[in-house]
Amino acid sequence: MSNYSILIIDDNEIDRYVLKRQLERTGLPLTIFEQPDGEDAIRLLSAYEANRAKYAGKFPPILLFLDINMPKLDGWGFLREFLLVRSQYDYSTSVVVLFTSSDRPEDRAQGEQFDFVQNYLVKGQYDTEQLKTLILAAA
Amino acid sequence: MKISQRLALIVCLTVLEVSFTVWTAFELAKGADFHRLNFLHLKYQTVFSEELRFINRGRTIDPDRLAMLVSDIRQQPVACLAAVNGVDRSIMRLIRTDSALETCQKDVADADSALNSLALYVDGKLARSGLLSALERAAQAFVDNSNAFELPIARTVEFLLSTLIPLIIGVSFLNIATIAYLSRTITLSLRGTTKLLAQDEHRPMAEQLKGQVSGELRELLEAAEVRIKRDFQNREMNTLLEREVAERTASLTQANDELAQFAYRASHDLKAPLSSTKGLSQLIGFDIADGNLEEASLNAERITRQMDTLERLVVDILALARADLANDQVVVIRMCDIVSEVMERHAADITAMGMHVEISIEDNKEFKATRIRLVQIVDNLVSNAIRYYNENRSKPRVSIIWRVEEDLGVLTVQDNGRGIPSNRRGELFEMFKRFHPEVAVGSGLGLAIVKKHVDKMNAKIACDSSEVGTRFVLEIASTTSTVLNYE
Repeated sequence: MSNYSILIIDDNEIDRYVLKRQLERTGLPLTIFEQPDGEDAIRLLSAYEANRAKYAGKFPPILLFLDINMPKLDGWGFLREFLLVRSQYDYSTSVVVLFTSSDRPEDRAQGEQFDFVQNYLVKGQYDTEQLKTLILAAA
Repeated sequence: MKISQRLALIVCLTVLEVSFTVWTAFELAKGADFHRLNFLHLKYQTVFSEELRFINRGRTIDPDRLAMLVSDIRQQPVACLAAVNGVDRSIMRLIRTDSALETCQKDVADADSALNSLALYVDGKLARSGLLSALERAAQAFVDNSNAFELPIARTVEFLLSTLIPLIIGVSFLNIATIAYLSRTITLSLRGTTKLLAQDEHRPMAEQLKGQVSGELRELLEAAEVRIKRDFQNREMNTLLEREVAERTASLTQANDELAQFAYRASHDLKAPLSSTKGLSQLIGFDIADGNLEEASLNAERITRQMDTLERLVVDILALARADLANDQVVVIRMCDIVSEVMERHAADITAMGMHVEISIEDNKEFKATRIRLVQIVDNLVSNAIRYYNENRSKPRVSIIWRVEEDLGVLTVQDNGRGIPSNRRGELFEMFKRFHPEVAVGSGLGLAIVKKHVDKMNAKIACDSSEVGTRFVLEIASTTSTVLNYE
């Protein structure tokens, strides 16, 4: 693939910025979408056909970095709604990486209930190589 | 008479009646036995007379056999005398049938005389003719004795039958009548008491029993009342304790859940700016290495903002903790002083954003409350009005109104800011709730702190919000009884 499409869903602008910079440091060709809340992300993903046309070859994203604590629709709410969206549109190539400050085992276990959640990244505890491995594994 | 005494009397009468009946039966049986012994006496006497007749016809005298026959005859009067007791003697003397006992004694003496003659004959001191003559006299005496014995015994038995049986029947009837009477008095006492208790269920039992029930029944009922009361109190106490335990358990469970949720959210929100800062620091290193000093500088500013966020959060968490622990020192408050203090704190922001502030305070009545809590409430409500102003409006505005009517203070803080999204108003006073992430300058604890203070002061707060702004109305009663210090 010539370009890897990624969606960052996080209400914290700084965290989105830091992750975006770290992703860019992988040196891989990337298209990065950003959404400040689960609700906005669901809206983006629900407009499947329109966005496929708008972002030809770059939509849907293959990797979704999902924060858990967000004000309007949190990470868990997003996963439940994304499950419904996946039943309507072809998101079989999209996987989710939970991207959060929490390292509680119960949060990890809750994420594992969704088969499209493939990894768990704790903010401040990852490096560029890890991100590169995740992108290439999802591709 | 006490119920227990009546029951004891019934038992005594019954035992007496049974004893008398049994004694009578034994006496009648004894009379029958005397007749039997007399018949036996006649039988042995006949055998003895027959032996004498054979000896007179020439049979050789057998002293041992003759002594055995006399001894057999002697046994019956001996047995009769042994069976007679003092009561029998008295009765027989009374009805003049005691000659039967004298006959028995004579019979024994006649038998002893015959045995003595036999002994003299064996010793050779008495001739055959003398012996036979003595034995013939004895045989005749035995017959006479039997005849003399039968009549008085028959009369004695007849007397017993004619007097003791009617006496038994009479005693039995008397006994039945007495027992029936005593039973009835017991039954009536019980029925009367039951009826009395059933009549009036509102008066205390002791009062109801007064003058109506006495003796052991009253003691029983009073003891029962004490016991029932104690049981009832125990049951009531147990129910209260169970309810108390259930309420406390529910309260503790809720507090525990809240604490766990608070710890989770607090640790998350405290950690988040640190994680961001860590990432930004890394990026500054990359930017410096790449020679991109402009981006490094921007990232340093971002770090400062993260630290500001962290500082605010720590301050608010401490404020929330203090809201729980604050000393509720009640003082006379002047709302204009409180509002001035808050306004001074936010003066720079208010001036910078050109916010229009309207203040209408009437401190004409004395009002007592916990000042520190009111300051934090006003501060948080004003802070929110400043933070979440609607930038699309040319003139942000906040109004603060305070009125006191009949010890009820009403504080209204109204702004024309962004308002609270209608679908999230239920979460208004929850911890770590931010309704405007696009602004995201708060800790999400401000209104939780307000609510905590409101609850601690037993006050009420209501919120009315729309797209044109938000209005909070706090209603608080002036504290009258818990003034600890007067300022």
